[in-house]
Amino acid sequence: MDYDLTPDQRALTEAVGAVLARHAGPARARAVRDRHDDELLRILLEGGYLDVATDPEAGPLEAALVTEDAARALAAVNVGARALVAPAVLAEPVPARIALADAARPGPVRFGGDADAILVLDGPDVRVVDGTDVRAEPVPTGYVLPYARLDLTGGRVLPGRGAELARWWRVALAAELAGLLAAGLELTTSYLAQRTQFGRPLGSLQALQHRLAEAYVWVEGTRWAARSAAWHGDDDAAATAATYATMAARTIAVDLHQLSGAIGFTEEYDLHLWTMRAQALRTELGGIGAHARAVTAGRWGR
Amino acid sequence: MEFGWSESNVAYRNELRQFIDHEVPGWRDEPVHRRVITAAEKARVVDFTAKLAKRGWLTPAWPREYGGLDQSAWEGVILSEEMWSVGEPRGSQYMSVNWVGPAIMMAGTEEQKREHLTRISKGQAFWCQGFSEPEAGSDLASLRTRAVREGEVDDGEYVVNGQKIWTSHTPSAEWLFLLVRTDPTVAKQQGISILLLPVDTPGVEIRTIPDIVGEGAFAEVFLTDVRVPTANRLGPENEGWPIVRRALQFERVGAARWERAALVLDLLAERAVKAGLLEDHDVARRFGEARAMVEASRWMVYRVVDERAKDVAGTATAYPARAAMVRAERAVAELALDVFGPEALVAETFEDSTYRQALTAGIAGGSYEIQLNLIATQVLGLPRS
Repeated sequence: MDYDLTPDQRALTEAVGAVLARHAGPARARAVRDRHDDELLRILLEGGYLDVATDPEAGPLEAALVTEDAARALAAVNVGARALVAPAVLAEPVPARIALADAARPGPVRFGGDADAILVLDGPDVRVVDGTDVRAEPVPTGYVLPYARLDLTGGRVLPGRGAELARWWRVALAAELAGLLAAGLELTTSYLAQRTQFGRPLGSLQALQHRLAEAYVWVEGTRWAARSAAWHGDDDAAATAATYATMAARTIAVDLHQLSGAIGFTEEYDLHLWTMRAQALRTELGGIGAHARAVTAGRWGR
Repeated sequence: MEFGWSESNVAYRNELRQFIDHEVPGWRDEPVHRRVITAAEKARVVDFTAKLAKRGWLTPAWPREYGGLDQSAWEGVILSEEMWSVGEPRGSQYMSVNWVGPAIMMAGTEEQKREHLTRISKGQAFWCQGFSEPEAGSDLASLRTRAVREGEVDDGEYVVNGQKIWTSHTPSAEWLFLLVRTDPTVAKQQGISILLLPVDTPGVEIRTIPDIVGEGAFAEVFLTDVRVPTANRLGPENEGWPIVRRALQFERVGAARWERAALVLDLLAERAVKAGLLEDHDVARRFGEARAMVEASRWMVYRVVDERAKDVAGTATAYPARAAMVRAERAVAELALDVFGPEALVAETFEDSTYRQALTAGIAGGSYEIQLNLIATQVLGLPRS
């Protein structure tokens, strides 16, 4: 057990951090808006950052660290699906743009419109649907991510790979939420530290301090549950991490807006870029209820 | 960064489990954690801890010279997890190991170390904590119990008068780790000293406080003209506060309440399965959410342990870990009432004990709100309110 980054892990997160600082962030997220960021994807692929999961010197934990950082930097690339999920499900070389869909829960698919391949969870199996064969209808949302409705019939069946897909999808969700919620909390904390009302910083009021402190507990729990789930790679760890992360998103995304007042509802202010994305991720794979029932099914067989 | 147990950690845990199964047979059938123990139970505790101590397992993370095995904080936490998950067969001795011993190691004289550390590592030390007072709860530093010195600073006697309250583990206690005010004229944190006091000293009177937790968990300790040699003072006069703060830093996560919560949740789930209750989607979801909260708190606690294993001091990671643990314990306990219905109200049942014991989760060992204050100011850097 070691909670500090190894020199290799530090080098990786610093390098990917430098790329994200230059090619992602709130301004870039606004410019890209509801599209896929092909330019950033190209740079991340060239740097090898999306292939660390299969790197003999690294693994899924490293991929989760990249996923967390990319989410924090608001990358409009499906990093979790590409770096964490696809390598665990597909044996062959992984296409660049991956989207994830759940046949049991049809609806708009995140990054579905631009995907090279859609990994469809189909009961115990996975179907790999070629993106060029799919009719995609973009769906407008207020959640600062590209969504499309897809006709997901057919595709190549990978028998018995469904559990693998669900497991790593959950890890990816938790890692992304760890990055999104941490960034949202940081912004809100600094805002409340400097916003003065009644002649004092709002952040000095205990009622508000406790809300932020509780948000911090959620963020820390999400971060470490996600990272350890990536390291362990088992169903229980994945489902508990996804459950905790989505509970965190449900609780604190609302709180962060509440604490930010009206400015938090404006497009001009960055908070929504993180919080709205976080809320969107709550809807995947059946959301909190399904993640939590997966925990129960795995642990107690019900 | 990695999240696996080392081979030797796994081996130690397995050995401990075999030992426990042998020494505490049937623990799983009667998993209620009792903080109050009778004389007969105390004899059993002493017998058990003596066997642990013989293997060096009572204080594995301590230096060899004080009866430890020079192992890391990880062995300490494994021990704590295994003990808490079987109802803490060490009785109150977990406190001696977790913070009384470390405080004495940190600040004690050679003589104090020889006396107390040896006794603790042998499993023969029953302590209780004389901290809170009627007027000093969360604001502990404002404590008023007065110790007036007669004679020289290192060759005299204190006369102690005052009152302590909410003291746990008094029925089995032999020693009192007592905070007193030795200088009332300076800032509140600067006039506090620590006295190590046998509870059978004349002038010490203990009264149990009836409580709703169902254990007789708390007592009041009255101190009337209690005479204590200065040789029983831990650390320099008026410099007790920093010692206590450091010793208690780890105590926030020292008792493995997360492991206990995980076990209680498993046992509640077993009962729910038997009763067919876990077929209900809502119930299944609640159990899953509770487990997620327990496991997240575990990973936060391990971060604190990792720092301790690396001798990283002065960080604030214990506060969020403690807060997460409190919430996890509550989430588990709520299930007892919500899922099992009126049967859970029947006194002394597992469900009843689970719910009522968790009532104290956010209070014992420093309140939940104090943890939030500390997160706000020390982690998030918000201005003091």
